[in-house]
Amino acid sequence: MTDEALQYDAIVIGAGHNGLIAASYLAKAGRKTVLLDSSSYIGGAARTAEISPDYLVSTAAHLFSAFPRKIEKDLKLAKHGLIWAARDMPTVALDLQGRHITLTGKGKQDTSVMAKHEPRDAENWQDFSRRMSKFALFLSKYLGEALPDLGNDVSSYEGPLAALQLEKMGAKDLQSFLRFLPSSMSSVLDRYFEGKLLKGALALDAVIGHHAGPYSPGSAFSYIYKQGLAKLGQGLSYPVGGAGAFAEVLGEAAEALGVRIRVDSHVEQILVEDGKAVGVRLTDGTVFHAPVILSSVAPKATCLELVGARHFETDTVRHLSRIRSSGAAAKINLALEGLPTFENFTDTEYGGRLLIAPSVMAVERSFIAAKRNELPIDPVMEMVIPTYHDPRLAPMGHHVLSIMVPNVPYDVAGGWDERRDEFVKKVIDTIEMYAPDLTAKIIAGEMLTPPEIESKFVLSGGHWHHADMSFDQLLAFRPTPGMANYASSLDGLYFCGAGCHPGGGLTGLPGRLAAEAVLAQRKTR
Amino acid sequence: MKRTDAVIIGAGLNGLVAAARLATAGLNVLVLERSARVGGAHASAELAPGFRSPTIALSNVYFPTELAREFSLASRGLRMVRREGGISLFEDGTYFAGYADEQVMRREIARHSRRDADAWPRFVKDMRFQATHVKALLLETPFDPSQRSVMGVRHMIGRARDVFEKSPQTLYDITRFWSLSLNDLLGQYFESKAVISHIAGSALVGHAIGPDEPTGAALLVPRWFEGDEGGMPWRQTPVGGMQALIDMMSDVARDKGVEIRCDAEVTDIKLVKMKAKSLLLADGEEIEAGFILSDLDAKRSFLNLFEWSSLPKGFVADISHVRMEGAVARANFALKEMPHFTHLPDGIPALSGGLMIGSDVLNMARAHEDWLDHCPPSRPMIEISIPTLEDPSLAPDGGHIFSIAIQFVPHELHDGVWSPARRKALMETIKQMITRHAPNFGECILAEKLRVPADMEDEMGYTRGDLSLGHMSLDQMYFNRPVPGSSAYQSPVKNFFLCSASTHPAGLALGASGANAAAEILRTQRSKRR
Repeated sequence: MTDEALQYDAIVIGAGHNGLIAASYLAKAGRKTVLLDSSSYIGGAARTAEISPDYLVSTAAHLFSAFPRKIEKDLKLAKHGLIWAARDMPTVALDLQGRHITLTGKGKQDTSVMAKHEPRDAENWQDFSRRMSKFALFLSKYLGEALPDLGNDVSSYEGPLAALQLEKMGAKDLQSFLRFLPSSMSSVLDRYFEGKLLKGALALDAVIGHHAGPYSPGSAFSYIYKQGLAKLGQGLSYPVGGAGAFAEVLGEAAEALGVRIRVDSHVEQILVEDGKAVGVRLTDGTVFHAPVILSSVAPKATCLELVGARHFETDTVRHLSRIRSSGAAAKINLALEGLPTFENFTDTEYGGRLLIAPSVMAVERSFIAAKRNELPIDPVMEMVIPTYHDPRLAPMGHHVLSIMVPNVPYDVAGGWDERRDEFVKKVIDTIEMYAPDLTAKIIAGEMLTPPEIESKFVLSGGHWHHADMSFDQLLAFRPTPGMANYASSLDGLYFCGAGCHPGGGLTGLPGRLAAEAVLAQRKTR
Repeated sequence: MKRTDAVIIGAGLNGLVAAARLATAGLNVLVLERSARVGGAHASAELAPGFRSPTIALSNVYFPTELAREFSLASRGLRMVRREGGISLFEDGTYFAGYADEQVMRREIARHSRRDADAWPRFVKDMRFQATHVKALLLETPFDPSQRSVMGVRHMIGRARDVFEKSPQTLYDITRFWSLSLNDLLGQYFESKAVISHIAGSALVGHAIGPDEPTGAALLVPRWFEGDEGGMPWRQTPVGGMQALIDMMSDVARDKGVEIRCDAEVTDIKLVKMKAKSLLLADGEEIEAGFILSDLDAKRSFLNLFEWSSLPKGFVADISHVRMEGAVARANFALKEMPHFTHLPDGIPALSGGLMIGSDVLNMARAHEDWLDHCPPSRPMIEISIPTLEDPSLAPDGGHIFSIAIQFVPHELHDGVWSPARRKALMETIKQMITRHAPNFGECILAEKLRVPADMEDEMGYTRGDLSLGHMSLDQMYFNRPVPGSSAYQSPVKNFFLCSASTHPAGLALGASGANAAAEILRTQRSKRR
């Protein structure tokens, strides 16, 4: 191939969903774009694979909590085959006595079960959800757009405007917003609710995917942040064919827009000339040239490994190397010969997002265990039965159960090889307390430890969000101060992955916003 | 019925400062104290003949010089003792000592890590930067962003503009400082576990927050209000202990015409149309007052002195959800002589700042997790203050006092109360921890006394034994203290004010809550006259 053939307007590194979306938006604007991925398939952590022959499951990420309608429309994903198998799925907090609390995805919340647990909770639910919804709405204004880069292009109006927005909340709500910001989720929950189960479920919602427990200050903000992201997207949903099929759709949409996708292309080096990123070199020696390079690899790895620290200022390097990414999760996928029997389950519950989080302390204890590099004694978890909405993932009448266990240590004491079976047994035993016939129905299963998730999906530290979503690593500080507007300090190099604003999750927002930033900053090619 | 301009419930330091300020402004002030003596937690008690030990108060306290000046305490004999930065003694016999002098401090750090010694000046600069800003806010009423007024909005916009005009680096530093855990923040300056543990440990003493918990780094602030010699700032305590300061403040108050009445327990406050009108004492006496100030914690003030039904419903819920939960027990030992610490050089000056054992970060995190779980600490973090080192007058010749803060000790255990057996076990743990490093400790003991948080509640009236009168975590500080909407010392009840450490600036500065509350009352009065 001649050099000219490898000359592009833009190179995107990493074909996860953010990379795919960034590339698509660039191609849509007429930029000649190539998308490179080191593995042999696209989608990154959005992947569907077999547990055993004929049983398919979303290997890692298994639920969409906030995928924006706008991206779906812009990239014509429906035309390329995106079908949602389930939308606005409810969240079900499993109860040992069968009094499960179902939080509706959409519409008015039925509080009768809450009232059975604690009458006061049903009364307080309205107040709690109204307030959270208001805070989420306020925050969502800043999550769906690129944030001004502090110091560089903040007009003198930005700050006062944000202050006025806050003032508009009204005195009472503003007071509780300012109180909630540094609060722990547990103290917020104590203020509203009594019921252990309801509190446990909301506590898990606040910290899932984060390296924090519900007693950690700041965990209330995580909850609001997630609700804010959810405001920008559609409700909890699940695509036909799982996360991998969704990635295929994105791939087709990208190709239809003219993106050239190259898998098995491991970028080894981002090439720099005269202080500008000018191209990339693959491990096989192939070189691609482009004036613009977007990386959906974690920013720390992008700058320090792919580019090299010498191309950045000391302060930037210090900021980058400080990025903390310590949360980790494990994934267990089971092939079942029938639906496990949960007491008092109806269609709604089987089709929901199932949470095992019996109390706030149970969630906290699992976090404490993870911090100590121990396995939780009573794991908390999030489960879905995708086959309930999408029967083609398994043979007729058979099912798959997809289990995400948060707060699992990356390095477990004694090593994962030793303790893997113990962990799986613990998780299955825990589920069996709610569905006693689970083991009898298991045909096959797989388990991914945090280190396996890391190597399989190239996520540093096994962290799904590339960097902890804590105050100092969010908003205008994500990935680092001074690089929040998707542009790195190296001319021509941009970030477009979960490591930049507004962070992780299957939202596609970092990808879309990064592409928009590139297009706005580089009007000409 | 007796009538007076202002009544203050509780003769703690804050109550006395408020009383003195109000009296200076010409008000008739009456202070009512439930117990037989003034001073609350700061009062000393005789542990053994000739041994005067502080009962429970914490050692790391800052008394604003502005207040000392306002009440001319120097002329009454207030002298401060300067104590060095303390020592952390680790399991393996190594230790880390803090010194006020920059060169000495850096040399000590270099013993553990050369790189950290180089990082020290940067750390000091950053801490002083944050501390200066906080210090400026100590002696004023918090700004409440939710207050609906043109002034309020303008103030808020001004603050927002200030924020955005800062450089990204400054803003990032501020955010990290106020949101990171102690462990994370210190880890960005230092690599040595010993250095990190000592700094984190001394910041955590007295607080119910673990070293890994986000926002904990903010606890570093109070240490840096004073001292600019480049090392670990001096700790200052009054000669004669806190009791001396208390005595001086009560003299000041009395000289200004304040009546201080002990053994006077207030049981009720009578309201007329949401206005505090009079107080009922336990002996049946009723006293009418223009203003009532409470130096008790927020829960005791509102939930015990008022009929709940007379307060707004949401307010009662807010107050009852203030996190107020003791985490510190105190063990006092009277010793016939100084025990010999095997691993410490003889006469090491840093010892005057206290000795911490079990303060390595991992151990503190575990002790804190035990506390969350309501378990007794299997290996607590202890901080031994030895007030007799700088002030031998507190004990007979050669004798010493060990006043030990034990963390983290829950108010209630998951399986019941602190039974005598449990207390004994905790004392044994403490003694073993000390004996490990000072084998003759046991032989030196003349007398000992343990107080767990439940005792502090029973003896001194601290709700749940919380000496900080509400956790000093960010969600309960500044305009969130004690609850949002009531941070200006006032409350939904007219003429009833809070002047205890349940209000801003909490334990950051002694007497400041009292001073600010009094200032707020005088302001109200002026605006009424106008």
